[in-house]
Amino acid sequence: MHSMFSRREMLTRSGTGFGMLGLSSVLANEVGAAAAPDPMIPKQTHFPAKAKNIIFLFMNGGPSHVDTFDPKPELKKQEGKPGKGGKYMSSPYSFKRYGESGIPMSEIYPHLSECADDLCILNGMHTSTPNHEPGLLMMNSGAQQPVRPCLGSWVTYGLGTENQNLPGFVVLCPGKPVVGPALWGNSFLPGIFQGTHINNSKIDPKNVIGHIQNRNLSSTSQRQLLDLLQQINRKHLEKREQDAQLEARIQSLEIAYRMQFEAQDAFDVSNETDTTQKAYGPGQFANGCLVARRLVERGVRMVQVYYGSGPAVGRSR
Amino acid sequence: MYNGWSLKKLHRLIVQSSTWQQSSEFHGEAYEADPENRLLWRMNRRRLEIEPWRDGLLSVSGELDVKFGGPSIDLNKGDNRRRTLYGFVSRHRLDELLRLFDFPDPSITSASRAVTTVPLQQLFVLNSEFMAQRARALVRRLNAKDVMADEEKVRQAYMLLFGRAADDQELATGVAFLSVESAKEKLSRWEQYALALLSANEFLYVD
Repeated sequence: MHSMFSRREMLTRSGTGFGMLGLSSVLANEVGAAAAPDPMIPKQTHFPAKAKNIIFLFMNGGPSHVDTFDPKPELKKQEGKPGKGGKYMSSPYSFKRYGESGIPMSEIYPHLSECADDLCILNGMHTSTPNHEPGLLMMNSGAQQPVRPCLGSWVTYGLGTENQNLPGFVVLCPGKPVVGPALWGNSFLPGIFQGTHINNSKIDPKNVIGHIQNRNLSSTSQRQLLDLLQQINRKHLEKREQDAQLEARIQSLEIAYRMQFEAQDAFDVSNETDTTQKAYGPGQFANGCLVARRLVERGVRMVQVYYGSGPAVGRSR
Repeated sequence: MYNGWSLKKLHRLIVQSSTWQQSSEFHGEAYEADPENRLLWRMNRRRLEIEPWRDGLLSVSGELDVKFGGPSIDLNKGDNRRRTLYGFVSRHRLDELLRLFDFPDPSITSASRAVTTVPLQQLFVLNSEFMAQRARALVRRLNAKDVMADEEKVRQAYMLLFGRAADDQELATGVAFLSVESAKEKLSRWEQYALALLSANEFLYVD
């Protein structure tokens, strides 16, 4: 994505216009007489991409920018003076610049400041409404009003995903955030681009994806049934030459069969080594981050991890 | 326009045309000239939308409740045999089955339905309890009449599901699958065979 646009263009388009990312394939992918291929197949970018996946940590109600990465010297001067709806309060924390890039960071991040040069921090985000719901929508879909497709839907729509045995866009959120599924909604894009929501307050690898487990048949019987079905489908296809949609469904059945095994493994954090599990630590959010890592390692295009489901208000002290 | 802008008359003209009434049969020559069928040399093969597909599954298994009207019911309710039209649609959280099979977002307008073919749909087909129940019911339906040999039942199943006679190869395939002793499973061999037929492309696509 970085090389597709200049920095300025990127900023313009990523704010309220990331629809542009997908636009190139809007026309190419219309379902018409000749069936469209699987819409999740990875697409070529205009220029070689450096990044392959996105992990989007959405930390609902995180600490204020004023206390973390965005020092406001003017606020110090106005300290205690009456402002809109209250008195001005400057940050109680001291700031320093870190790394070669000189990113300002507050003292609350002693460890993070050591990796300053690995970070890219954007302090230019802005919405015109200070409420949570429009803010959440703005952040995820680029518009304060419902309903527009969210970032993950556009990304998978425009770029596809690398592992066809897993969903392309996964959302890990404990329960539902205030706005609800509209935050990972596909809106007017086809339904498959909606985020696959997984409640990470309790991840059961056998239940994360709908119907991922066959409760009636052993894998041997499943395979036999599928072989029979494919034999019937191929005979049907023989008399119907050159039909990509029929072939696509035959393929899709095979992938579904494989997905059962791959998905259960991907979501099973207990398969990680003790060292890795310890490094991530305990808790829902840590667990969500570790699952996100396992998913992108397997080629899932975009994973979003929510911290908490309700909004938190206020400053860190 | 000649008919006072009557859409009804326009529709009649279209559906009575020979272009509309074509089958989706393949012609090599036409395909060479126009592979995308832009000139409509055949009918485009269509995948059933979720509503007629689910209704069709319930219908061939002899379970469809055709009652007219009434309140909408959650499609995931185990005993919901009503037509899909009466499925409960939530604007806040669209039913998983509907969303999976390209039902548009109900909170906005939609000019036409997208057609996607993805593995998550096939997981529903292969693994869902809904499909297993239809397979069981279909076998019950086939067994309801006199005792018949497997071959005769296969013949009946083809007639019921696809509205045509099974050919020799299809009969042989069916009988061969049914004659294999399988391990003890929650679905009998016949129910597995029924599930394969219900899952077939021929049931999902209209020529």
